[in-house]
Amino acid sequence: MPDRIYITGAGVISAIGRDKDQSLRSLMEGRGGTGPLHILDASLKDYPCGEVPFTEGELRKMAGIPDDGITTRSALLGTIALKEAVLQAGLSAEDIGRAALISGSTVGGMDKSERHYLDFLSPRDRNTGYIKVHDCGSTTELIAGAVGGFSMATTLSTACSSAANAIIFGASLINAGLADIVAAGGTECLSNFHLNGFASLMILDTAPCRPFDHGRNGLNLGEGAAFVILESGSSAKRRGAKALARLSGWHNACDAFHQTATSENGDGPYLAMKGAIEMAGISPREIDYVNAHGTGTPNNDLTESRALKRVFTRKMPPVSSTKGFTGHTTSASGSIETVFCLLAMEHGFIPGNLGWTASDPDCLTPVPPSGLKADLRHVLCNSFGFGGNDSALLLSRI
Amino acid sequence: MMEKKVYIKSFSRISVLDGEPDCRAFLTPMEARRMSRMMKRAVFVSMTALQKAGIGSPDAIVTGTGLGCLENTEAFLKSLTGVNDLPLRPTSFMQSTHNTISSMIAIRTGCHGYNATYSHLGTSFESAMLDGLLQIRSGSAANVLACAFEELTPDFSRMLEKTGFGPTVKDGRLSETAVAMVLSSDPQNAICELSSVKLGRSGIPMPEGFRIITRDDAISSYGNNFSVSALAVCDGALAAAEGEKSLIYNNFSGYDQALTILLPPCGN
Repeated sequence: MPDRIYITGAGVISAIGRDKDQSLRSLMEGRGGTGPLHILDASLKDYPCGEVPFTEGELRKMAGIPDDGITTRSALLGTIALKEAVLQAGLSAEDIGRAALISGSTVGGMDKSERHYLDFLSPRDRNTGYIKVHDCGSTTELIAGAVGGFSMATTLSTACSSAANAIIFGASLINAGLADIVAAGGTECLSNFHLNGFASLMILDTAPCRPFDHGRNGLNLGEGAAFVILESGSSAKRRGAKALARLSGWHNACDAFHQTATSENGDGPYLAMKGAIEMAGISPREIDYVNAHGTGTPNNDLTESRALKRVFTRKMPPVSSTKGFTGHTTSASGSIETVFCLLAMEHGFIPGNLGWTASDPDCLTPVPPSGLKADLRHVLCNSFGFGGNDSALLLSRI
Repeated sequence: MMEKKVYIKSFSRISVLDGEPDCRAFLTPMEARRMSRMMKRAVFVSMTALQKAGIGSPDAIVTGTGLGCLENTEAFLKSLTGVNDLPLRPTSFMQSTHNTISSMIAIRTGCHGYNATYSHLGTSFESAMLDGLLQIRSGSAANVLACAFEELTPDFSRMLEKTGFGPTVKDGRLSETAVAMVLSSDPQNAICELSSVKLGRSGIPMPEGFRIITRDDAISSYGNNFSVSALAVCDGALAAAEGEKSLIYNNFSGYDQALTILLPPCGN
């Protein structure tokens, strides 16, 4: 029987806060962070986004990174979130030295690549250093270098479920006895590549997104990063670390239907949620809250609703999407929303489903935008990605 | 408790030593026209490896790729940055994400199981293979399709040459990789045993008594790309099948290294 897996630290940065405290206040007060872009020099102006309101220079200061080194915005966001998680877990240099770092990313260094692409193509040696950090793994290595330590590092890239799958792989490493401390999460910055890509698929809303709403019309992109410290029970005990929650279940399934659309009845999402609940050995009735993927696109929210109805046949637990707060933070969403779930469990509330005004008869009715007070023992957190890469995480109170 | 043993049942690969595969057995002309070169190769090696292992739909699919779908990424970037006047094509964007290949194979094989893609420089493939190994050891999957893909474009090879970085070290010849292998808990007709995969930083302890294949050995045979170590694992599997205990030492860099240990099948 594998050791239990605990979460002993968490860190987050997004449009609604630079750390857990700010995020908690925004979530409890129902204050969203989407709006016009100010930092990204956006080629499309019509789409509100959940931008982290700091320039690269400001992020470098927050991350403790010198002004002159090559880096990516995703690496800066990730470093800030990981440092907060490491601090809360109270990891010593020796602990970090033996820990694994598992991150999720899809755009990697694309923010620099798109800015310097003409330089990249020219024979001149200008901004050449950014070619080296174009790939996803380099962003993880930049984070590892900024924090220091780590016995191994790798990067998941499964589009919008990348961070959730990073947490799942971290849990597999602990279960297999290959690590006893894993920093797992994800990071993603806004880029014109992403903005134009989602716009070309015609799934961006020009208004604030409205997950599960009758009039929903697409998603808002966001950016940010979050990491959790996963730890075996024996390691947490040895260090005297305080556990925030237990990672009691997880499941990764593939919809295997279409590159960007979800199957009619949400087969992948259904399998992911069902698998996570079964792994925890609890009944669906014991789930007190579901943090939905809930992007606000007609297809996602409909198929996720159907999948939720298949899992929760007797009683639907409260469901909300926090995408109205942060926008869809793509590769980072799985870990950002995991941290939001930890905050909700600790402080006894359910974040509101911002933007929702009217029921869609085909969708479930989410928690009202004002949120709810609730005593949460078991919380399910969904992350679904392009390619049908669907994952669910189950957090349980200690 | 005895740890469950994991075997390599089959593999299929395309390196610089091979020509373009004949995909007619697996793709209609219409499907083939819509796919990038790398996607066609991926279909070919995946379906061939599965056929050799006698498996229709694997229990899980794991993929490693350092640079992902470069052709589609570049097509979208060029429209975006005005290098050409072509409109932004949603298909290029959709097929630019790294997990495109793993999900395409899942769709083609109807695999609803575990599906993950790793993109971590020179150890992308070993990351995927380790995940696949753990899926089998934990009992979550009886067989796993583990893949590695790298494609090269003329523009990107010029860029890499400018940096003198990563895939260009030691050997100027850049190349591509397509590998698919079936990992399984079933020893019958296995090529070799996949005994362990270790990811780490420099200074991973090297066990003794193995025939060692290094990343540089693979580069001298197959040219250089992020996932060339997957071709070395194929060579190691063939050596292990002949009775030689093999160790693939992927010394990618000081910060990312991997060790893969392959043993002759059935405890020779």
